[in-house]
Amino acid sequence: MHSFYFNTEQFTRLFPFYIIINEDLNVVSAGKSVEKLCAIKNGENFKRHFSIPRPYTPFQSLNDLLVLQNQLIILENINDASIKLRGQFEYLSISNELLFIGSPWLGSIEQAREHNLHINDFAYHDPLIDLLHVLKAQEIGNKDLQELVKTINKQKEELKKANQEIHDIALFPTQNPDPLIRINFEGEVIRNNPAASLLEFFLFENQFLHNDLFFKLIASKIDKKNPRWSIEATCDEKVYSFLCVTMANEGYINIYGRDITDKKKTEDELSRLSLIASANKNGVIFIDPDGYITWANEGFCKLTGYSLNEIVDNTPVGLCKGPLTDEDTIETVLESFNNGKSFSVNLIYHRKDGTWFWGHSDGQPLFNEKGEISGYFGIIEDITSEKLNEEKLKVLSQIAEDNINPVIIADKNGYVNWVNKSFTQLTGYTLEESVGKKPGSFLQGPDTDLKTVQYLSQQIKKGEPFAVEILNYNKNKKKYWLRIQGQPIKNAKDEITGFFALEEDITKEKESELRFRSVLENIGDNIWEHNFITGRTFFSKSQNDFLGYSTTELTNNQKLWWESVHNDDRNLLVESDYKYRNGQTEFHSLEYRIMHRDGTVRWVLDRGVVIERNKLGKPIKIIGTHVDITSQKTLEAALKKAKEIAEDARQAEKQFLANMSHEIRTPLNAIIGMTHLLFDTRPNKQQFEYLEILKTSADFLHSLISDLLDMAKIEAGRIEVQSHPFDLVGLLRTTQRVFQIKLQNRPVELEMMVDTRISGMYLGDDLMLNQILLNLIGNADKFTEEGSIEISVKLKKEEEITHWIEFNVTDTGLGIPANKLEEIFQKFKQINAHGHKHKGTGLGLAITKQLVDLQGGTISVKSQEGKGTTFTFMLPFQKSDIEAIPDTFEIQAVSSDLLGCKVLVAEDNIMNQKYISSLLNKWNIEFIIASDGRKAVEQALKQRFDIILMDIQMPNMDGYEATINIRNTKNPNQHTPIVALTASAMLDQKNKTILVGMEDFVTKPFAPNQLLGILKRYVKIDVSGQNPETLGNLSLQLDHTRLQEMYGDDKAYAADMFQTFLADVLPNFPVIQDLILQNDWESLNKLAHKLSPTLGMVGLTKLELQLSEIETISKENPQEEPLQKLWEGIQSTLDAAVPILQQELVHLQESVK
Amino acid sequence: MYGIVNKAIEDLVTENFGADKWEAVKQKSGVDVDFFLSNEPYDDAITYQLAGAASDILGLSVGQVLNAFGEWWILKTGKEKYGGLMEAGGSSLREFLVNLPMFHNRIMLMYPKLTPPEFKVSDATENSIHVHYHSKREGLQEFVRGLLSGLAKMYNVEVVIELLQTRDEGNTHEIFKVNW
Repeated sequence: MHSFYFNTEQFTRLFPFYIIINEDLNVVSAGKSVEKLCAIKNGENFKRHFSIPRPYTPFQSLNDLLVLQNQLIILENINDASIKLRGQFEYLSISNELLFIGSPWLGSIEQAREHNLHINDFAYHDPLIDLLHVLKAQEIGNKDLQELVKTINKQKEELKKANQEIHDIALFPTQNPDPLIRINFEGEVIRNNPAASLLEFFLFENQFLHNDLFFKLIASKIDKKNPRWSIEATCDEKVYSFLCVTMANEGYINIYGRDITDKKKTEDELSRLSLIASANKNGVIFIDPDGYITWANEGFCKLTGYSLNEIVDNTPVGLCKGPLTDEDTIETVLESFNNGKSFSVNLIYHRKDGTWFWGHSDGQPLFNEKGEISGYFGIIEDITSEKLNEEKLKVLSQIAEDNINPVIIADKNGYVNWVNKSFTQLTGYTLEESVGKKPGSFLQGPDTDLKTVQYLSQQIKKGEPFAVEILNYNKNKKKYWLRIQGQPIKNAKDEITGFFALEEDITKEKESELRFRSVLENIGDNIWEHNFITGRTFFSKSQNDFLGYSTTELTNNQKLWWESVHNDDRNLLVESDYKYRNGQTEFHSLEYRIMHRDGTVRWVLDRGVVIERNKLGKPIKIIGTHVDITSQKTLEAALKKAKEIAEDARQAEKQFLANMSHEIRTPLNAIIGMTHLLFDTRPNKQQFEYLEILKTSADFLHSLISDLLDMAKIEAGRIEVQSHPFDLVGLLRTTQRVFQIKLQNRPVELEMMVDTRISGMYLGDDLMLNQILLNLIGNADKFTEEGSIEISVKLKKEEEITHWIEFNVTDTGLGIPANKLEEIFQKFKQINAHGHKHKGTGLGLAITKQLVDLQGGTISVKSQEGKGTTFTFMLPFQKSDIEAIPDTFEIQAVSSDLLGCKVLVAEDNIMNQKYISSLLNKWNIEFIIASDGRKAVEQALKQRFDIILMDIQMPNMDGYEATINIRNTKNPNQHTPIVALTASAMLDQKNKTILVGMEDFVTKPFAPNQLLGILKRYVKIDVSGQNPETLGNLSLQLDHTRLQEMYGDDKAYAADMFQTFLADVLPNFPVIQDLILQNDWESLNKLAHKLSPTLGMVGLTKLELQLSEIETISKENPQEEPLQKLWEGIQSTLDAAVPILQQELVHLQESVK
Repeated sequence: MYGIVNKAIEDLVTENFGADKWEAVKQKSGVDVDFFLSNEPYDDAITYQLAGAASDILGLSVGQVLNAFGEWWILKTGKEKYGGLMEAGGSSLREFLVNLPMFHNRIMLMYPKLTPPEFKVSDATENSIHVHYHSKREGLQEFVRGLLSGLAKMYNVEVVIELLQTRDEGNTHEIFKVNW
């Protein structure tokens, strides 16, 4: 083992911070640096200088420290805690001393400096100072990095700024000679170019502004919706236009200035010119070099119909070119325009409204000071009328020249100015020979009619148009006939400047006319011809028989004919004349009276037809005949009188029938009625027999009268077929049922077979069909003791809309003898070969046949005596689109409905009153009797009835009038069913009753059951909802549409719901009243919400809505009073509705069964 | 040279003549480095260029610039940035200069990318010492003179520095005699 020996100097060089402690804990020796650091001296107690914080060791003796060997020790200077030594203890056994070797623990080079430690105070091997140096270098490096980051960030910002600068500069060309300014939204200048910086004061909107104020003003005009706007301002005697553009994202406004001084000057000049141009009625426009209109005067606007706004920025071609505009002329104009040349053209301009005008257009280029074209100036003059006249003239001259008819143009005195080719050809005179002469002077000759000549010269003198037929001579003295139509030519001042005449060679026509006339002269009728232009009439016969004047007299005095016409009939002629002249008619045929020269009145049949018209279609000539129809007329008058007498007689008969109907039926009604009542008085057997006879006789009498009346009316033509939709199969089934009941106790079977193809609704007269069937089946019934009656109905023929339906009524009765078959449909021919017990009027089948005939049908009969009879009739019906009324969800009437109902009976006949009242009493029905129409109306005004039975013929006011009164005035019975009780006519009654507003009618005399049926039928409807007033202030009709929607055909389900409502839901309703009184709105709202839909479930839709209202009010604005009122309304209606619901439930339950 | 040197030049110019002048110097030198990292070595040429440019811009000779820089290096960079590292070099100018060679040896360890000059001392008396400067770099003797002068100022000692020999005159190295 090697030993080391150091002297103190060596040791302290190696370990300048060593300390040796003896057993007394005194410092024996210490390194130079530790002495410097801690001011420790030999001999001093170690404890005075150091403590040992790590490992924490309180020590009193050396032994306490010895245990600390072999580990890291931290010594802390007691006087300066920042001085720490890091090292280790080593026990020196030889000297019994403890050695500490270590080095200071420093955090930074600055700490070394603080403790005055230098590099030489450390051993060379001790890296502490170097480590501190490294630490420092790293610290500096970190600082550098932080600085670097800062610098980079700074650079980044600068880059950004630079970018922005570049961007801004890019948007701002500084070299532009026009002023460019950029201001912020406050109006402060951000940037401007050199041209802008020269501008200092601005004259803007009459204010003289320094540039800062000017730009502030601009900034204040910023409009967010419109980022571009422009203004004009003057600066240094120059006018600038400033286009301001808002750059919202950049936050500034760019102002682009442009020197428009020159342009302004030009515009001012132009506007001065324009003022002049504006006053011009011609159109004036300015066009820019590109061809767009920059300005137009009012004249142009008026001419074209466009507004200035519509005109500016359009090209003249684009604006006014239309289908009539000549393309070639436009080409010429465009060429001149493109070459900067002036032009002058005539063009058709189309206006805004599509109309057009001829415009004379002069175009002139405008040059600026440099000699460049700065635009065009155009003047447009409307020359339409000149142009049209010119065109017209051209056409007219051409027409005149080329006309196949001769044409003459003369001056105002009648001297020829010009003739056409046809004229020279016809007359043989040349144009030169004709000009300057009056046509009459060289064309007329000895046979020319002087009157015509006079007429012509008169018309020319008067300057009026003329139309004549005249005989003229040509150059070779050959005659020819001319028709001349002439008219004056007038100038703009309406002065006559000449005449124009169109001639027509009518020589051939004239010759044939003369031939015809001589023929006509010898024919019986008077033939005449009237000329509308000359007003002259020609008559064919030299002597007019029925006037007593000669033709010459008539011709010479054109008024004579008119004056001879009977004063009362003259208007006929005037009217006819007017119609001809106005082209409203082509012919006429009139009968009128005329006064003969001898004073007698004659009838004339005057017929005529237009034979010639002018170019405008107006008639020139009509031709016609006069026929004396005096004797015919006399005969006619006699006939008419006879007819009137006959008509009067018929009317009297009609009235007689009507009266008889009423007079006989009324007592008969009473007789039948009383008989019915007598049956109810428990008569004894004999009385019963008498009553039977009485009833049979009365019934027979009733039927006889009905038949007679029907027959009478059919023959009088008073029955018409009334077509309306009806259910044919339904009608047949009803008829079948009626007879089945009737035949119930007899050994006669009634069978009916209906073709399955017959179904739905047909258009036809169901009443007539019913009567036919009743008659035929009734007949069969009458003559069949035993066996069967078969009714078969077949679709015989199916046309497009018409179905021909064949009805067969076959019985197994007595049959009809073959020799009687032909008479069967004749009146009063009763076939009673076997002395049959049944008697009839003999009218039934005659009526039946008449009814079939009326409907365009056929009827026939086949019969074999002893075997039976078959009546076959076929009727046409139209198939109707209307669907048969479906079986709806309706409340059916039950007999008990009539209990409690109230009837108004309007009847004047006491016996009838008694009859009806005894029936109503018997049925326990309340009623009031009104003895005439007026009283009935009074009663109707007073109180409500469930039905009104209304007699028709009553004193003071009849049933029709009373019904009209009730229906049209406000009263409780405005909608009450009214049923007519009528003893008057039969079949045509129903229409009138319905027309005045009645529901139905019953013919007197009626059986008790008939009346009961009527009551049941109409009072039933009443209860179910036609007359809601009876049950409350609300309509109590159940909402069947809704019920149908909810339950459909599921009546069992509906019955369940009704049952539930009545039994379980209904008792909850009174709670509503309690809640209202308690002002418990929340509960009320909930309850109303819960209950309202249940009302809908039973069809009480209106109540449901009202309860919903309670629900709403209770939530939004609950107040006791309105809620209470609303509830009371609901409650009373609901109470009234309960019986209806119960009844509906019964009905539903019955349907389920 | 380490960035710290260039950085020191930047600080010197900026603090004494303003940031504009530094920008001008930088622009003039053609040195396109925005930020010098203290602990990163840069091409020596950069330092020369900056010194040359500073001379032009500031109207000083290169020698004056380098001298000023040497002083700055000690008084500002060393003292302020290195937190008393210079002062830790010795308790007096003499002690510091005596320790200088050893100090530089330590520096070499700390900055491995450094091509440090070598200093030697000789002829140490009570009032003077010879400082031998061995370097591969040319033309930095004025910088060394500045450093020595700066050290003197740091220890608050008035000194006279004599250049006893220089490479310019064909010697192997420069010898400065520092008298106090």
